[in-house]
Amino acid sequence: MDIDIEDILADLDRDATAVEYSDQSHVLPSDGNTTLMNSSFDATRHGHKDVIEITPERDYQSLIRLWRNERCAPELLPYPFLLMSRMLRRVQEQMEHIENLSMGFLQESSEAPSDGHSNNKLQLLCMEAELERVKFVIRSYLRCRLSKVDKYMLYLRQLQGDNNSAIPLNELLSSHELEYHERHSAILLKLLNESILKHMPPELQAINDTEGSVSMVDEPDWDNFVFIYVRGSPNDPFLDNNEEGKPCYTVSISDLNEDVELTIGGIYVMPYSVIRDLLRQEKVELI
Amino acid sequence: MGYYDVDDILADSADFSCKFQYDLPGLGYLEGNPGRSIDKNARLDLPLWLARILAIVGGADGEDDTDEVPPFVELLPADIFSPKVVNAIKADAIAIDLHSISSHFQALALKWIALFGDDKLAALCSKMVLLRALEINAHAGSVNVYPAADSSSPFLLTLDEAEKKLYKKSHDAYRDHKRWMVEN
Repeated sequence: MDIDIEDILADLDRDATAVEYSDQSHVLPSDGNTTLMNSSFDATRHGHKDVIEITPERDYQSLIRLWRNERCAPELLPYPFLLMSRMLRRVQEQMEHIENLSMGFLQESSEAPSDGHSNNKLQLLCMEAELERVKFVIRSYLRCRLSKVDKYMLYLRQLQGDNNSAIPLNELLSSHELEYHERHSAILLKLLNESILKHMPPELQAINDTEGSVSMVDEPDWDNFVFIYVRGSPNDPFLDNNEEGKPCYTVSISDLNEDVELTIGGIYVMPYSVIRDLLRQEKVELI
Repeated sequence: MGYYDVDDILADSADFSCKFQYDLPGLGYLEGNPGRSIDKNARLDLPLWLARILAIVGGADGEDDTDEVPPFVELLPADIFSPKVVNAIKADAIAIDLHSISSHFQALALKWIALFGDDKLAALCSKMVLLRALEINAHAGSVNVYPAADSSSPFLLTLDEAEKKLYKKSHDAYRDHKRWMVEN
C-alpha cells in the first residue's frame, strides 16, 4: 500500500524556502560588498521587502520579455508604465551606488596602496557591466517602440480620433512617446504640405484618406506570422486537456475555420491576430 | 502592400490590355491622339492602377443604376497569366523565368486574384511560391563568410522582385549567423 505524501512534503518544502528567502533578503542589502552578478539591484531591495511579487530580478525578466515581444509583434504594444518607472529609478540608484563605491576606492587606494583591493574591483566591474546590459535593453526597447510610432503614425492618429477604440492612446504610449508622436507628425505634415500637397486640388490634400483606391493609413499587419512559445499559467480556466492529457489552449483561425491546440511548452508559428489575446494575458510569448 | 510601398507602386504601373465598353469623348490621349474620342470596343493597354478602378466603376448616367451596368472597361485575359505561362508553371515552377514574364509577378498575381476571385490561379500560385521558396532557401543557405565574386547562379536571375527580397533577407540572415559562429 502506497501512501501519497507529496502534498505534505510540498508543505514542508514551502516552509523551508520561505525561511531561506527571508534570510537572504535580510543579509544581502545590509552587506553591499557581496553583490553578485544577478543581484546587483540589491541596494533597492529593502524598499520592496513587504511586496514579494516585485523583485528587481523579476522586473528584469519581464522587461526582457516585453522587449522580445515588442521586437517581434507587428503592432505597438501597450507601454508598461509601472515597470518602466521602477526600472528607470533602479538604474538611477544603481548609478549613484556605483559612484559612491568608487569614491570609497579612491580614498582606500590613497590611504593604503598595497592593500589587496583588486578583489573588490571585480565587483565594481560586474556592477558596471550589469548596468550597461540593463541600459542597453531599455534603450533598444524604446528605440523599437519609436520606430513603430513612426511607421503607424497615421493609424495612431486615427485611434486618437476614434473615441470607442479599445485602448486610449495615452495608455498605449508613454508621455514622451506621445510628445514625439505629436511633434514628429506635425513636422512631417508641414514638410509634405509645403513641398507637394499645397499644389494638389483640395479634395486630394488629405494625407489620411481611406476612401481612395489605396488606403493611405498603414495598419499593422494583423495576420503577420510570428513564432510563439506557449508558457501557460497554472490553474487557468481557459486551459483544456488534449487527447494525450497535456494541457493546452484552443484557438481558432477564423479564415480557415480551423481549431488549433497550443500545448504548453510548445513552439508554433501562428498568425498574430490569432494569438493576440493570449499575448495580452501573458500566456504566450514571442520569440 | 502599404500606400508608401515603392514596390507596390511599381507593380501597380504594369500595363494590362483592356477593352472599352463605351464611346468616351475626349479621352483620346489614352490612345496617344488627344482631342479624339475613344470608340467602343477599342483595345488599349492601361496601367493597373487605372484599369483596376475603371473595371469596377460602371458607366451609368445616374438614372438607371438598378440594372447591371457594364463597367467602363473590360479587363482582357492578361499575357502574364495566359495558359502558356500557367502550363509552364505547372510543368516546373523552379525552371520558369519569372523575371522575364513580369518583374512583379507575385504582386500582380495577388492583385489579379483579389480582383477576380480566381481560385485556380490562387492554388497554382501558392504552390509555385512554396516550391520556389524551397529553392531560394537552398540557394540562400549556401553562403561563404566572405562574399565570393561569382555568386550569381542562373536561378537567381529568374527571381521576381518579391523573391529577390526574400532571397536577400534569408541570405543575409544565414551569412550573419555563420559569421557570428566563425568569429566567436
